[in-house]
Amino acid sequence: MLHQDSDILFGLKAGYKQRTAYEKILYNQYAYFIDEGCRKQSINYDESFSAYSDAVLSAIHNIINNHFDGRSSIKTYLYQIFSNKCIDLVRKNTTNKHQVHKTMPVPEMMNQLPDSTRTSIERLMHNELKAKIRTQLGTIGKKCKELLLMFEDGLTDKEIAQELSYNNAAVVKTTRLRCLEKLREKVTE
Amino acid sequence: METIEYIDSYFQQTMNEDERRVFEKKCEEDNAFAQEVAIYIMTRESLREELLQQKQAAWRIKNIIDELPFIPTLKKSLANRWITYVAAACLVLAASVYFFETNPSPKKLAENYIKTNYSNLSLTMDASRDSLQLGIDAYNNKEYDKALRLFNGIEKNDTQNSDAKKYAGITYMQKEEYDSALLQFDALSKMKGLFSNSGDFLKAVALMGRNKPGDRDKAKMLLQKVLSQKEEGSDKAEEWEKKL
Repeated sequence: MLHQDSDILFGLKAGYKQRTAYEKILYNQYAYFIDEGCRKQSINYDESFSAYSDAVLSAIHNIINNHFDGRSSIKTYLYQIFSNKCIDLVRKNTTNKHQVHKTMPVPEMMNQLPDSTRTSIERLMHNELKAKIRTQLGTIGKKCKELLLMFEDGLTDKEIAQELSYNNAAVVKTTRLRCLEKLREKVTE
Repeated sequence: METIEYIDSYFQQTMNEDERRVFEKKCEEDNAFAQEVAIYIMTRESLREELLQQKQAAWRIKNIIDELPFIPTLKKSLANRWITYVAAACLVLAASVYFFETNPSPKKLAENYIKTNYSNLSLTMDASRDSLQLGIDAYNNKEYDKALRLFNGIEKNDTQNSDAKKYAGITYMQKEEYDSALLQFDALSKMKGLFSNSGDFLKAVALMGRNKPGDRDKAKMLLQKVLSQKEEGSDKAEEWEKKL
């Protein structure tokens, strides 16, 4: 059964618990893109799956943060993001094959920075640092990690306070920053 | 922690233009600070990757089940097979009886609600013999076609008459013409400036009554909307939302 865009938009914005169900509905509704990705972009199934799920997550975050203006259908919007992710993958594969640079994908957050600043930051980002962060993520405690992941999933400090029974949004913000600091210390020590 | 808070406020876009420019300049000129920003960005990126892995696992469950290889069952003797069939049938029967006793279908819920609440419509306060009143009389006498002619007639002359829309929709529900009822309730729900608007709730009732594929989900969402916005019918919406 196909769900209408209005239903999906309403469901994704209806609250954290309801959102989980609608994320899966959105994922399943256009999962056939994965096969199309394999055919049209010449990438394997795992890569296409990875690009598709990444695109779904980006689309969800844009929808809940009101960055999706509804001028196109969700299908068109999602396909555009998916195509871009596939192109990034193809580009990464090609670069790796030729071993010109040991590049890593540029995080979406970098787009917030102007070009000159971006260059200054980009040269400091490397795979070793990333691997260290990933390892240390497992050492900051379950609660810290849960809170940081919820924030990364687009929940506001207020929503996290409700979900994890903190007193208020301000407490969540302080705890979140403390968790980030804890992780930073472990990475840099 | 001050540095992290400072970097966080940039990426949370809570800084003004001047503050953003100062931040960007600092990234370009202060190598130690740029390093902190790089760690922050890569931390957020690593968290996103971890989140994506969790989501992929949750979203992929169905696919894994679909991909499981088919394992043929072992051959059983005829008697054993019959015992299995009878036991399975008994279980299904018992489960069905339990399910229907404890979880009435959406259609049943809607029908019971219409029967309990809309067997009769209340007369208006002034009791004048206007078309609305005549329509209500006709409805209460179960002359539904006549009631519809009167309610629709009022709507033609006065498109802003919310009562006529509501009563016409209810009459259509009595006739089990849910598509027409939905049109009326949809128009009602879009009316602005009413003291109380039951449009969304009645739309949910009509969808439950129609019970086509997808209607249950749509009704559930409408009930959640009624609940979250405390619209008319929110008491019933709270009760039904759990049952759908």
